[in-house]
Amino acid sequence: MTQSIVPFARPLFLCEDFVRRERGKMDFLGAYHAVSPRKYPFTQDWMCVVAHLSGGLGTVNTYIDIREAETDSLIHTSIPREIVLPSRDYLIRLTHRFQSVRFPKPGIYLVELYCEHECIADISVFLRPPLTGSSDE
Amino acid sequence: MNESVKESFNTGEGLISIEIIAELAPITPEIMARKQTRAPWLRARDEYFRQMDLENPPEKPE
Repeated sequence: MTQSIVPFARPLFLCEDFVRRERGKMDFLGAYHAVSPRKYPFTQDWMCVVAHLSGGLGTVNTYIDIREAETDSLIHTSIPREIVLPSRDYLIRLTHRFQSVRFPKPGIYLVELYCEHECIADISVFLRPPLTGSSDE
Repeated sequence: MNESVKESFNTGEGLISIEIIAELAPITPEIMARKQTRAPWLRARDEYFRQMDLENPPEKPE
């Protein structure tokens, strides 16, 4: 075994849905990093992109890009929305909730979070080759 | 804020939850041409792993 390599922590995650609870708590349901469709093109019915932000200030636009990792080609982009960051000390729990995201073929896709056209975080999702047996993960 | 942006929780305790109903936009030439950058911490991450790949080439799947 060669030298150890320190990993990095992913600041984004994907899940299918979330439920708001009391006092600011939130339940995230169906967190995933890979999907096993039966056929392609495949449509992911629900996809939530969750980020925790801090240190920003003011009004910024934000959107999500989804790219095919191998080619870096843009598959989807969301309409930019403005959010207000009132204090640099606040923790902002930012959730983009998508419905019906279509993936054309198997492979690794990058989900990127942009603020003011600057990519500030990303996460990969693996679309596995078609399965014939089990249901989607 | 746009109606697709919902600030659902803000008690003044330093946490704000913002939920965006994300809508996909058509990928137009303007979108393809927009100037985008990567945050410094992502560039540092990419460079770090590029260097690690050089020093410890990833094993190729059999």
